[in-house]
Amino acid sequence: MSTPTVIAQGVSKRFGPKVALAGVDLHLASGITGLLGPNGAGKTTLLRILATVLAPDRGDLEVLGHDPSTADGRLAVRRRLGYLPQEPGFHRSFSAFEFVDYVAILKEWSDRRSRHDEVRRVLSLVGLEPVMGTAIRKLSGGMRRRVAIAQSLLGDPDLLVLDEPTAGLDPEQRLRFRELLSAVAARSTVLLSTHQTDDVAALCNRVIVLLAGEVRFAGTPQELAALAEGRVWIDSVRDAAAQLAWITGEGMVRHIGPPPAGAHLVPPTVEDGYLTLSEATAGALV
Amino acid sequence: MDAVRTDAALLAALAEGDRGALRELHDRHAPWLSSRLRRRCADPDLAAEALQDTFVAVWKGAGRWDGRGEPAAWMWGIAIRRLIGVLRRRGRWTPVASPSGAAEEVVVAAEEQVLLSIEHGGLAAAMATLSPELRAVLQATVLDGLTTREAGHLLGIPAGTVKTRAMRARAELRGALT
Amino acid sequence: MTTWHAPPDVLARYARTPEALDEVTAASVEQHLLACAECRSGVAQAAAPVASASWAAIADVIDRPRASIVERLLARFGLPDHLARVIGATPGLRVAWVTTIAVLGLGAAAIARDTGSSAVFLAIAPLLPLGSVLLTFLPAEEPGGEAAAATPLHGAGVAIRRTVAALVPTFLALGLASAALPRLTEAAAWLLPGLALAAGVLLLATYLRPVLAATTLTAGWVGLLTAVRVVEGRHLALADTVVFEPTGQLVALALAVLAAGLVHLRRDHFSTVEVTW
Repeated sequence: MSTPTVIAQGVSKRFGPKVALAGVDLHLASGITGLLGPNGAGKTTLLRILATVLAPDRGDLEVLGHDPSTADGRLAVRRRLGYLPQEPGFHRSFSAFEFVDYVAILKEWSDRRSRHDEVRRVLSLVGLEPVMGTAIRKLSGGMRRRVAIAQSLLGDPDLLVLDEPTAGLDPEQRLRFRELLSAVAARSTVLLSTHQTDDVAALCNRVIVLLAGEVRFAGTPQELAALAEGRVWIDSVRDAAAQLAWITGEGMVRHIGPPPAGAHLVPPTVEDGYLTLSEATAGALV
Repeated sequence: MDAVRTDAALLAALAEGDRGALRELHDRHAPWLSSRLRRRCADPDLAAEALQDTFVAVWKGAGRWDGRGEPAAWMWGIAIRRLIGVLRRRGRWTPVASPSGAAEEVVVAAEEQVLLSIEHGGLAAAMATLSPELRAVLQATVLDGLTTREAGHLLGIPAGTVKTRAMRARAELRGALT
Repeated sequence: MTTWHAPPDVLARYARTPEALDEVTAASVEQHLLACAECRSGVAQAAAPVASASWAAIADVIDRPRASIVERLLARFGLPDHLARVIGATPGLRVAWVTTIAVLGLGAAAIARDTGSSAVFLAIAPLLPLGSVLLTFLPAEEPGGEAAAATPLHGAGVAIRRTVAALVPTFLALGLASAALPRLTEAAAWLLPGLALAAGVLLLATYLRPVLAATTLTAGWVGLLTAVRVVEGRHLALADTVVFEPTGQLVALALAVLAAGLVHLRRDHFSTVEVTW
């Protein structure tokens, strides 16, 4: 692996009685890393900590070579960081242009002309050029998401932290987003959290699975899928012996678990691997 | 992408805030408007400024197109008045670019030459008999549809002079054409 | 009748060197262009480079965000445009909030005129600057949303400038309202305690969540006034109690200065935020 961009060791965070992160260790390098996990697993908390928006209770963190626990370190990281929060929280009367322009000012673009050129650039990257001047509250959910993605791209950051970037995007927009991200990730480090395992399979060269505040897997998507190797089969009826079973789009039943003799095994997907892992963690019989 | 939109559709869209519609309208019309403005004002920077003012004005007030006539003609109406505005702001009465008959003729193929003369017959010869000042006044009042006052601002002459020159130009043209 | 179109090279000539065309040809072409989209696009193709330069200039004008009145005022006071935009977005500067303060202040002053006692005014007025500071720090009021917390400018520089900006109209509005008080000697009695409370909540915001900081100090102030009431007796006007007498004013001033100093020492904390508001 090339020089790590982010090194975390023993990062922990609790909110009152609730433990959000219980000693997270991870390494991030250039390329796209996916963060998978159910709601409440601590993904947003981890992303906020890496984006210097939240401080961990314990643990060591090095982001882009700096220590975010100092004000100077935070400043240095933020100058090379792009962050997409799960809930952007737009100002009610801003237009798409005004919002991204405002964030650009906060990112130290003090010269109006170059700042406005940069705002136009990122809004064009997400395909929102025709509606730049439209108020955000008049835009659809998918467009609002793209506005938020655009602001994270300001200044071509070295580290891009994206919390559920594809939430609310239709399939065509997700495809465009994947193209956009592939182009961006060529020269930076991207960490994106998602529920969509097909995004992970298509985009990410590494994936981290977070369950109950701990890292349960870190490796390639293929390695994650391989966790379910030999444990996925298809039948026309539901087999009670399976740990998990659901009806697929073709009307067959897909099963995960110890396969009965003669079962029609199929190659596991990233989703299968992820489900195997979360089932195992939930304490189900293997 | 989507189907090609008409100028009228673009004007309606940009009144709703569709910036892409303004861009499309600009790409279609800015080039000829730019050329036409440059033939009214010797300074290309002022012409460029007027062009930009035109599209900003269209963006801000496109709802004012009444839907009648050609959008192109409506846009020229805005453009020429913006040019007058620019000239007045700068206080520079730059002489209208009016090449005399001795300027380089456009070389056209033979049959196109014939077509051109069918288009405006003896007008070419008649126009050539007029002085540059009279031709400029004709261009401003007849072709561009300006009022005598506006033509005066454009040409840097008093409105009264515009009137007298226009009358003389018309009289001379009538004489040359009949 | 055949559709006449201008010859392509004439169009090209018109596109590139329009001044060089003779008048009659040009007039003919120009009249034709008003009605023919095909020939217009012929001109456009020949003049391609002109179009993108001119568009950049137009975009620069139409994209420019409209500046609010506050923003323009701040720029007039010498603030660079981009900072005026950020500071101008301070919630404490909003007309609605300043009006609220003015109304509350005038209301309390009216009560003072009616009852002859400025107790209500002196109890409430010092809390309003605290409210303005609280508004400045509420994460929900940040125009840039959560993304703003991850930017380089998120920190003491903007936070303190915003606080100061929010306090100016607050103090002005209260000052005007206090002119309506029956006894002018009491008119300035709220000022230093108000300053102390504002500086105090600013300091506490580096330790606690903004709402908690504000609630704590408000409770403390109410508690202080109640205690003073109990100790010094009900017959004494609030304005004559130790809180508002010269001793109290000096203490308030000292606390304000101390809080400001500590704020400066703790300024690194302004670049962190607890997003669990």
